[in-house]
Amino acid sequence: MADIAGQLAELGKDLITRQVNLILATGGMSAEPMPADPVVAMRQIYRWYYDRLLGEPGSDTDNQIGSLTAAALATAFGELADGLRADSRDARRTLAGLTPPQGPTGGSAVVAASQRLVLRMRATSRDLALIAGHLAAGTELTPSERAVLRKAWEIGTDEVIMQTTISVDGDVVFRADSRYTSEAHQALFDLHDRSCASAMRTWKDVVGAAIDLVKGMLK
Amino acid sequence: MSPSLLTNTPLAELADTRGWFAVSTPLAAGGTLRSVVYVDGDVTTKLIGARTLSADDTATHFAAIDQQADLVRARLRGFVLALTALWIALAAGLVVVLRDPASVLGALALLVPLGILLVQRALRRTLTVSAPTIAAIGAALTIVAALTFGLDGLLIPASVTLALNLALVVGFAVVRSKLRAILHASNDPKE
Repeated sequence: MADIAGQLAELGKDLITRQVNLILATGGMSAEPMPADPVVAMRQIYRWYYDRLLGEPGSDTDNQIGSLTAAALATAFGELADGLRADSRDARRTLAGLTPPQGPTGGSAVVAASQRLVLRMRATSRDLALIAGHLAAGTELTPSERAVLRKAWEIGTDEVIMQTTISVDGDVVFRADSRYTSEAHQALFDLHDRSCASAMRTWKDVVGAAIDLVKGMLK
Repeated sequence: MSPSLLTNTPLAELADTRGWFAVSTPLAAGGTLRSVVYVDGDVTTKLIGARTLSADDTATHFAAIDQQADLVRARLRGFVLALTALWIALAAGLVVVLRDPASVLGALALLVPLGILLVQRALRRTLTVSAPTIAAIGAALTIVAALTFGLDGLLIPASVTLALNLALVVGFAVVRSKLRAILHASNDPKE
């Protein structure tokens, strides 16, 4: 019962803010569905972060990342989160000299991550460190942790070209990459608009069900 | 409800994925459009291997998402129906297996709340009773029948059920009156 209550509380927190992302992906692994094995998925996410931070795709030539265990991933993501102390002024400066742990040795300085991406990787790394820790301890992942992993996989390090954040108090923040704001990209705007409508519908369904439940109890 | 009871049911599947679903649509000019819709309202849409798409592509993709969302809702409805059927089967099973007055009474106790819920649904807006009220009525009927037939074994569980549900009814009534007071206060014209 406590577990269900905890999950409901967590879902309630998640419902406060909705985030709609439109991503342009070139292909490769990020276009593939997430592997069923969470450790395999986390290795790949770590590889994406690693390559992006070093600006050298495929730099893990010895495939050391491919053999990381859940415990090693917990350490790697934890150290990555600690290392990514990006501030709002200059992410690249604060990241200079970071060599991601547990990966190939002799990596060069961080060169290819935008400030927003670095902040995203830091937050996700922190979550993934906890998830990997649970896996290493032999604990089964909760639905919430699966969702976090799924989101980390889907967003990866690809370009988020449009993002809308909708808060429960009615605030809506829309961000768009300036390269995609011309009329020539109207189709992308329409696509994002439809995604926002889907997000609203899903949210309305869940919140509506919760309201019905409470109304039923208070009749 | 134990997790094992839900194994291999649609609800277990939904709980396992926390309600998300993914839809992929191949684009006419090459590439793929993939959306993942999460139960908390987050949506991630990925345009893979393409930089633009047609209005038809977008329409096809979101028609598929709507269809998938309807399927999720249908699965939930199916689960509720399956649970109701299980409830009735349990009541019928009690009568068939035990074949004594106590089992008939137990079956009735199981079915009374269901019956009242059905009546409540049929007479929506004219008869409004909450789940604890229904359970309390069921428990009270069980106590009366147990006393009539001398079925002492049913007295304690039915009494506990009655007491718990009466407490809930009173608790909800207090919450309701507080909420009404707050609502009335907020509706009063300001000086």
